[in-house]
Amino acid sequence: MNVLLAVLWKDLTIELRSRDRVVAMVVFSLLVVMVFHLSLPADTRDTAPGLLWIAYVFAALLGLGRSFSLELENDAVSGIALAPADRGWVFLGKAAANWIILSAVQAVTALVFALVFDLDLMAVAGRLAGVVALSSVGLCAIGTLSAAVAVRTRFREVMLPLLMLPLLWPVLSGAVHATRQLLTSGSLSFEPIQFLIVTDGIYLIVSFLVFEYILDE
Amino acid sequence: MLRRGSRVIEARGISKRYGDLVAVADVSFKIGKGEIVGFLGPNGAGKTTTMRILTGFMPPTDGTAIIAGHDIFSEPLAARRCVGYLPEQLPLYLEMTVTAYLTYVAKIKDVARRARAPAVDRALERCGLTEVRSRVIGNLSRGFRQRVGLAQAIVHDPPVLVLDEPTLGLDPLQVRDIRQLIADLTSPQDGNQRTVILSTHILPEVEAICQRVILINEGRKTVDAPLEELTRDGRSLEELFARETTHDVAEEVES
Repeated sequence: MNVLLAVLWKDLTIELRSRDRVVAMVVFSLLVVMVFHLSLPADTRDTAPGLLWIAYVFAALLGLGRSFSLELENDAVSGIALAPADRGWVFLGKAAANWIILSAVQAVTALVFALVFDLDLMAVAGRLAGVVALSSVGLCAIGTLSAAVAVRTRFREVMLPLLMLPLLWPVLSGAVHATRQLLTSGSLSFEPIQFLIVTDGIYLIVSFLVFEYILDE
Repeated sequence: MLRRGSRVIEARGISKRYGDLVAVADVSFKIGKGEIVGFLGPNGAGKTTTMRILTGFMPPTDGTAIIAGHDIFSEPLAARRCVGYLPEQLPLYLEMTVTAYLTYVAKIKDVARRARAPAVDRALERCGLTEVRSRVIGNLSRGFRQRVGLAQAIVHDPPVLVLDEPTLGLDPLQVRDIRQLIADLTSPQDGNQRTVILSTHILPEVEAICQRVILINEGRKTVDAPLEELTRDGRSLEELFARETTHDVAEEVES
């Protein structure tokens, strides 16, 4: 648990000092939103949930890729690999830091998205934040694991989406389904939430166990 | 508690293979408490791989190692706790301050909460970093960064230090300071006398601070003897290094 908190604190400290990841992710996701706004018809209530999640996933791809390159740049990975603790805690620390950073980006993106597409999100803001936060646990779990694998390959920028997107499909379908329910009817059934909780749990447990071998290689 | 001179590091038939490539082949040695051992070999000989196995960074394909009484396979966490590692490329986060970085390392090395601040202060003082403790690492000179690297290796007060090219890229004065620091870390006056494995290409460095030499070539241990014995009759380490490594190059050229 100490290692989880230490890695989380370290990643957030570095991000607060440099702010390069957050700025890049916000700018990129807003650009994506603007592209959708310019290229799609005005009434996008049906497609809005999908568009919002496309912007989120693109932003996540940008930020998650940086998550482990930070460790490899100065061979700092040797520091975390030698921690006298199960390496799964290192994974959870990095995934938690990614989740917090992504959440900040998602909040800004949602505000701009609502303004641009003229959506009233205030009535469902709390529940929408809950759905996005819950879905992002799975997104960050599988994204952090994929980033750890991709960072050691020659084509890391290409490898990350190739590894991450197929694995992300269950989380993404649950997230879009729940977001659509909220934006179209203002209500939310328990099925997509249950599905997201189960998917998050599976992704977290599998990633925790597999990370040891990824770091070894 | 380990007695002075008792074995602190024991490599037992360590091998590492990557497919058909053999990086390290059946390497065994024992190092006693308080010894400073020079780990020599040409580039690609398997030194860094061996050191990474000893530190618990990566597992061997065959064999095992005992670090301060802990097997790296059966007690990996206890073994990792006993090792301080300074890799060739410094494992630093350039955006962090020196104190924040060392506090982070103390946390992941499982230093107890109450002991953390004194441990960081002690490492800062031993490595001559007190004056720059609040500076961002990215703004420090190469010499100070090297000191921060050493400080992260000793912050949890490990009995074993594994140092990979600790003076690489430093000016002569900085080299002298770092060598003195390494010697101090193993001095009998120090409450916790450490065992050091020092990998370097700078042979005078080995002659200056090491008591014993282990030479690895093409993944195999070829020399393991006290420095005194190797340099008897005015022979130099350079001659030994050339003799043990260049014949292979000649054979390669011939073949």
